[in-house]
Amino acid sequence: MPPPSPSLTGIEPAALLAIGDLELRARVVVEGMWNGLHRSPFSGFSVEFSEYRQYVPGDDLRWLDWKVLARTDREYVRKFEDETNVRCHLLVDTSRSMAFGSASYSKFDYARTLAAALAAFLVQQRDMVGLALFADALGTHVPARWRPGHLRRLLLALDAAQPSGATDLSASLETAGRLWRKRGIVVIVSDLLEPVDSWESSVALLVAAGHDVRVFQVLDPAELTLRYGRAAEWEDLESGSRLLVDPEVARERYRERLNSHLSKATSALESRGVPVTRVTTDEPLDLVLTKWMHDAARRRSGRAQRTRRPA
Amino acid sequence: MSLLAPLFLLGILAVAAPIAAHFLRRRTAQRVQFSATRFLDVSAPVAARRRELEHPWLLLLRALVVALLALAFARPFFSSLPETPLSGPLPRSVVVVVDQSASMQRNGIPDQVRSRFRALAASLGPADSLAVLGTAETTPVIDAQTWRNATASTRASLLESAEKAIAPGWGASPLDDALVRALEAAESMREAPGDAVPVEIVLLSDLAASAELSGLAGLDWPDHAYLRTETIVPTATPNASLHFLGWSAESEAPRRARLSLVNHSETDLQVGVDAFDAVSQEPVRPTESYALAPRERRTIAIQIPDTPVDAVRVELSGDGEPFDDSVWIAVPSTLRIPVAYLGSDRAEDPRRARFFIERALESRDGFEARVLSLDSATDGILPDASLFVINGALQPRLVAVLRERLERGAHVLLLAAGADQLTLAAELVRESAWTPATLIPGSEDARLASIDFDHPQFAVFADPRFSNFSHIRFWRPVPIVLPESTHARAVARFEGGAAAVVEASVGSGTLLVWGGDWTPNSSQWVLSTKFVPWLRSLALRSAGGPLPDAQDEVGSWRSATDTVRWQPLDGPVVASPSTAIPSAPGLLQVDEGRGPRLLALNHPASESESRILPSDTWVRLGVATRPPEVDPAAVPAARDRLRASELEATQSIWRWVLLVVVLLLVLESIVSLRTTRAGAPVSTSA
Repeated sequence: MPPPSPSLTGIEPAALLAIGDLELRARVVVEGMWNGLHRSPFSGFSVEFSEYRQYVPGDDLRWLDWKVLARTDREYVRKFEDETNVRCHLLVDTSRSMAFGSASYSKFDYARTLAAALAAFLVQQRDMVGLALFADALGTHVPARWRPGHLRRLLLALDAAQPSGATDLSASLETAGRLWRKRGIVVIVSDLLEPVDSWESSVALLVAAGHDVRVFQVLDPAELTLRYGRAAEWEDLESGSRLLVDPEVARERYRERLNSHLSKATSALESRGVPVTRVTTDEPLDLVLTKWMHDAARRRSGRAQRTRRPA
Repeated sequence: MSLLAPLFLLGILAVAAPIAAHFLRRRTAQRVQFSATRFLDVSAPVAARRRELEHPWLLLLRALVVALLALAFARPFFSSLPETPLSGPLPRSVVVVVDQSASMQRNGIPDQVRSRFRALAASLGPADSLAVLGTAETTPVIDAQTWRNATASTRASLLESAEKAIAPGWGASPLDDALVRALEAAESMREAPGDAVPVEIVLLSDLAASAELSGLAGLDWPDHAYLRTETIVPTATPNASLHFLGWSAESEAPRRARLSLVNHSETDLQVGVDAFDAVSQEPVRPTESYALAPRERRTIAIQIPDTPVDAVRVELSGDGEPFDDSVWIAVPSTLRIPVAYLGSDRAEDPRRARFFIERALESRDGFEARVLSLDSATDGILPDASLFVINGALQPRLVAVLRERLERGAHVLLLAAGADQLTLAAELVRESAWTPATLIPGSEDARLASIDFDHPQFAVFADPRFSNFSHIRFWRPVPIVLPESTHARAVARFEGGAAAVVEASVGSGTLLVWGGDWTPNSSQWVLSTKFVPWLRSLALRSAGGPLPDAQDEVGSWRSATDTVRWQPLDGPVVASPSTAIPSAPGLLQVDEGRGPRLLALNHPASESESRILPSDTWVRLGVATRPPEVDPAAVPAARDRLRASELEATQSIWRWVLLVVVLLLVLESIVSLRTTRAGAPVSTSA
């Protein structure tokens, strides 16, 4: 799939997030996404996910693609045309670290707008969308459904959420895994600043349960560069611990440690087939989402080609 | 040096605040919240490593300001005066209340009050507090602060002038108000040091049974004050009194004034009653004698001759107490209201409105309406009237004249029997399109469904007992539709919402429009019980309201207007009643803007009552009449506090300390400004 048209200009996040109404924000983003999608031969998100799906224990063997199995020795389940609807779970981080923002808005504002836009987009395509908010445990949970008024419910839950508590991604993923019996796409929207060791295995479990896990890692530009703050007492948003920091002095060491963490997180996820999209909050949301869809489609297409190649 | 309020010295601890602030400034006061501090290392800012104290001079100045403020609040003084011996008497706080009612004029009472007051003042020591109140005045004759600040010689002159100020007056005896004011004075005395000693309220009064005490009934008498009464008994003299009761029959001529003649003593009395013209002082009848048994009460009548006598003075003689022997009686004025009826119907025709209007405005109760007919206006000149009733078409040349009368303050009642009359109303108000509304088809009659009972014209019916208008039917109503932009307002409405009675202000006058005529064939209105009070109310409104009563009591008369001028019949004009209300009985000429009238002022009849209050009165009212127990341990402390307070008040060192504080603050501002300018700004932005 081709990338989004270079002529596509994104919506400035500061202007977008200045809109108070989350639903309106989501509509604006989705509108931008459609503009991007229409300029490409991309035929839609839902269809891309509707062709094949890796077999997981429990699937009905009637739908196993025996030809593919014979050619590639890998099990894929064919979907029928009437099974084009996708079940998508949005898992949004509401921990206090998400409250950080060097601009006029926080990472959380950005993340929930992203989730809202994605939900609106999928609902428009008659896909089933669910939502779970998490911090130190799984909080608000809206099961995946498609029915009139469901999007409104999702948006209300997102709108009412406020960052609080520390992050425990592992516990939240385990709870989510127990809740979501039916397989689907799980989109995790988080800053993933927790130590990788603490959540790595939980993501693996979710993948093993047959879910198609994708991650949006939302970071503030200042978190990447440490071009922020002053020599002062720095307080950790989640733990409340304080330490004297002069960013001019601490910058280099900080970057090293952060980059190390990010690399570790990326490799941990991708080794389990979980694509990570790292987003900074100054990136236009519609472009981010459009690109993400293209990447997803390309990845799926590549995977299908690799599957066919041996034949 | 001693301190009046040493606890305030604890405020010196606040010096820690500037010291802490200066030390804390060595470290950065900024705090930054961040999401990924776990990737950060401690890297102390350069500013935080400094050890030296910043701006020591500023710190010193600020600490001094705080310390001196604490010292000022602690009220320092030098205890240089010799101490009062601890065995001496306690300082007393005394509030003297002197009854100034008319009954205190009885024989022997003023002399006794004077001597008791002198004795009381002489018993006070230099450290004692005194306040003096009179029942006739709302402000103290001597207040405690004035007494406290006065020197020995000044106190003597204060007492001398107080003696004159507490002379008996002619009003009633509001002891309750005076005692409440005395408690307020006692409370203000308690705010001073020495509050361990209870305040003694001394009441100098004849304690007449007529004294007003109802205000004490709900009062929670405080613990810090008690009442001591000194009953002043008059010289034993037989007394009879005379009081005006009213007129025997107001429309009767000649008038007869009814008076109450009472013997208050326990002996037989032979008294004479004389009546004089209050202006010429000529007797209006021969002296009449009456024999009165002990405690006998008799009503007598005095005929006021037809000759132009506007007021009489009735004198009683033969008893020993002269204070209640004179009565002033003013003949009430009659309110004359000229009413002009502009209509073609005859006064004798019971089928037309004029018949009912003239009967409703018949003279009664000092009210005399003179109804003029249209005939006097046919030549284009309107009669001089305060109320115009228009029933019918009006000559065009009269409209402008009527409008001019309205602007000058006249009242006009327009009976609108049709569209022409509504056009006339609109013309008088200078508006357009007052139109009659269409009646609901099929309805046989209309009723008043909505009435503004706050309006003066209907206020007389506001009581729910009289507010039912639903039984009055209108067979030929003319509901009025007002234009959208109008100065008029509907005072009453028919069923369906159209206006029935409309009022509009024109200049300083008022136009009242009634939707329909007043014939008995058109409605039941003129035959209803509401009609006469409604029309008389309108006539009275046009005349500025009813005349006030011609009789009143000293102390209770207050004019309804601010522009009143009054003068005793033989005295100068007094223009400001709020500051100089009449204080003695007599005859006044009062002008409240509606022409002069006579007002007779007499002393309250109750003041002649010679019985004294029952002995259990104070107990029933919950008034403390015994001094409360004083804690002996608190006595020396109280005296010390009193002495300290006096010393501190004399020296007022705190004022000088505050002056130093102000100077230090100015110095601090200068030093702070220089320090700020000298310091280089530190960039803290990322």
